[in-house]
Order: sequence, then C-alpha cells, then structure tokens
Amino acid sequence: MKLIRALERKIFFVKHVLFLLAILCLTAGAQATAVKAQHVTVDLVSEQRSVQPGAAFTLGLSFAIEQGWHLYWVNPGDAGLPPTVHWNLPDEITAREFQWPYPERVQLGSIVNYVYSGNLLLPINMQVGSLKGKTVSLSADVKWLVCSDVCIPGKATLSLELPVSSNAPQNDPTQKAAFAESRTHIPKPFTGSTHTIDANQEFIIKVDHLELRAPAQFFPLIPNQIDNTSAPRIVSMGKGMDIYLKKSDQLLKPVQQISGVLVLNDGRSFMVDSLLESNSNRHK
Amino acid sequence: MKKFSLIALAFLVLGLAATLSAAKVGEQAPDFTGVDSNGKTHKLSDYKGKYVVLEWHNQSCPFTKKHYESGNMEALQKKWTDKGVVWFTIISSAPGAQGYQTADQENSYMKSVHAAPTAALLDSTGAIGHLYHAQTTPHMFVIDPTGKLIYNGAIDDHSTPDASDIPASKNYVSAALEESLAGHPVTEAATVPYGCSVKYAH
Repeated sequence: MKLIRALERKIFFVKHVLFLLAILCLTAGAQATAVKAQHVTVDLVSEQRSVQPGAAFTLGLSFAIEQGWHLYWVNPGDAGLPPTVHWNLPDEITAREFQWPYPERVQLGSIVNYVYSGNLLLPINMQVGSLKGKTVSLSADVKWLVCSDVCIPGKATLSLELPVSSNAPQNDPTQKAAFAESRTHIPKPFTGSTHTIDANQEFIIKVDHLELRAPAQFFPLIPNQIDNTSAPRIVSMGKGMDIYLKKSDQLLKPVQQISGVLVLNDGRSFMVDSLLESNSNRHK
Repeated sequence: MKKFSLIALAFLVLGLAATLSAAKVGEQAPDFTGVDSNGKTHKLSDYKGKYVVLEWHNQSCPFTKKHYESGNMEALQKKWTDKGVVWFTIISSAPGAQGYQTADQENSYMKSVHAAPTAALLDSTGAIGHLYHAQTTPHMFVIDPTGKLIYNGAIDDHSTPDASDIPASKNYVSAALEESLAGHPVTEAATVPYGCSVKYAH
C-alpha cells in the first residue's frame, strides 16, 4: 500500500512538472539561440509569437554590447561599419531594411563617429505571402564591427522558427519592452516644409514650423556629403530652425537633397529629406 | 588704400581656405615632410613629376590585415613602384596606440610581410594624417605628377574585413592610376574610405 501511495505521489508530481514545462514552452519568447561573440551578444527575436499568412510581422536584431565598446549607425561617420544582414528566408517571406534608432555622436580629436552602446535593437519589417506548413524557418547571417579603441569584426548565423497560424498573431510580452524602447528612438518621416540652400562652404537646411527644442542634433544620412568633424549648428528661427552643415571635402558632385536625422531635446526625432533649392547663384 | 586692403583680404581668405580644405580632389595635394623608418626625410614636393600613392596603415587593424595577409597590398605596392610610382605607407598612430611602430619594428614588419612601398613614414604626431584628414586604415590618396590630388578614399569597393572579397573587388587606387596614365579623368575620384579609425594622439 505504502509503495502504491509513493508511486501515486510520484506520478502526481511528474504530471505537474510536465504541465508546468508545457506552460513554459508556450509562453517562452520566440527567439533564436543568442550568440555570445567578442564584446557583444547577438540575437534574432520576433515581436510576434506566430506568423499569419498575408500579414506583416516584425523581427528584431538584438545586440547586447559590452560597456566601453560600440557598434555603428547606418552612416558610421569617419570610420567603422554598420551591421549588415544576409537573410535566408522562405520564398513567401521578404525582409525590409533595418529600422535605425538614432545614434550618439562621439568625437575623438578630429575623428567623429555615429555609434550605439549598451543594448541595441534593430527592428525589421517582414512581408508575408501565402504560407503552407505549420512553421517557418528564418535565418540571418549577420556581420558587424564592434570597437573600443580597437576594432573586432564579428559574424553569426541566427535561426528562428515560428509557428504559422491563421489567427492574428499575438505580441510576445517578453519582447515588448525592447521593441518599445527601440521605437522611441526611430525617427519619423518629417512631413513638414523644408528646403536646403547651397551656401558655398555649407548647406543650410531650413525647417519650417518646427520649433527648436535645444540642444538639437542632426545626423547626416549619406557619407561624404557633410563634414563630420564640424558639429552641425542649429539655430532657432522663431517658428522654425536653420541647420548649418559644413560640406565635406569629398563632395565633388552636386546633390539633389540632403537627408539626415533631426533629434530634438524632447526626444522627438525626424528623418528629414530636404531638397536643394534650385538657384542660379549656386556655386561650389 | 581701399583697393589694396581688399586684395590683401582676398589673399588672406584664399590662404585660409587652402589650409582649411586640405586634401581636396582636383586641388594641389598639401605638401608635407615625413621621416621614414630608415631615418630619411621625404617631402612630397621632392616627387613632383611622379605619381605618388599615400597609404594610411595600422598593421593590427582587421581591415589592414585583410589586405596584407592576403598579399593584396604588397602586390599593389610592387606593381606600382615597379612602374615608377612613389608609394608611401604612413603610420599616424600615436605612441602607445594600436599600429604605432618604432623604425626597427616597422622595418622588421615590412620584411616579414614582403611589403614593397618606397618608404614607410612614421607620423606619430599625426601631422601628415591631420593635413590629409586621414580617417581610416586603410585610407588611400593618389597624387599625379603635377602635384594634383586625383583620388581620395577607400582602397576598393567592398567595405568588409574579409579577404575573400578581394578578387571580386574593384581596386580604386589601380583604377585611378590606370585612368590617369591613359590621360583620362578618374571616374571614381572620391569614395568613402573604410577601416578602423586612425589612432591619433589627442
């Protein structure tokens, strides 16, 4: 009798452990096995727990960067390289470009770089066609350059499997905070009025109807157009602002527009694409 | 009186502009004086009448290693110096910073990797680097026999640290030299240099 009771207790115990494990599996975040590389840990995560045929979803490339080290923005500045990805996806799934949170400007002597430190999440919008099967396998070959006063190139292949469901996907609560934090730093397209003046050694981006919240920052998007060493000078013009940008010595051909990220001190950030004013007085 | 001071002002402004925009493609490359790893002094103006290539270098930077461990840089140095081009490898790393070399160390290194520049200039104060605003290792400049800067930028068009990319890469330095030697304008004269930042003294 004692033996049977002991067995019953054991079975009861095992059943409950299995049940708990099942719960854990269901609620665990959809993420790849994180890769711990030199000075950075890289991971591929999904904002949603499943993929719905025909509906977009969002993946994230996550970097936990060791203190004292940094990665680079899409325009790295005077040196460095941004992270890149080569996707291996089913035919029905297409990845868009990285969404880039705005970086930090770091100047060491005459060298200026646009960098990230700490935790970085690059969201990627994924387009989905008609999917067959119960799961999808997503794989990314990621390369990066992590630097302190020296640089170490790194690479990793990250794979993620997600269930396919005809139901609208639910967000993964374990990823909510990371995606929200990243999104507060991703610039929104600037839809207001702006134009750029070619002022010989400088460009002046005139932004209308956006009050300067100083100190503001401007990060040029395209390398070799704007001199990075001279910090942009942003001046309030009452209801708008003027952004003075010294031209790069490497800018040899005329440009149609100047693009960059404007960050105000209230945390709002905008991607500004400002067309050059066609002007018969324009000269190099 | 008014006319004179206006002219003087114009010259002043032009002079200032020349020092501010130092290494601009299409303009005269700034003259410099450097001492090489054998103690010999070189001035850029000594080499008027020849093509000159400037190669910013840090032997420990992964991007420099890409081109040296593959033999790519050494082959370029040999190819072009054989054709009468002057090639200066320039090290602007500050003492104690990555890439810094004493004269003996640099000579040892060049021998071991079979490097074949005309000379390696030791620029630990960063004077030449700052004059050219050398940003990365490698960062390449090509100067034509009239002293005009005809190329400023990356060594090639694959901004990666992977030697496996070299065979498929367009080498901008060779392209600039070939086009110029053929009497054509350089088609890609200013590209975005890639590499580790030059480790200047602060």
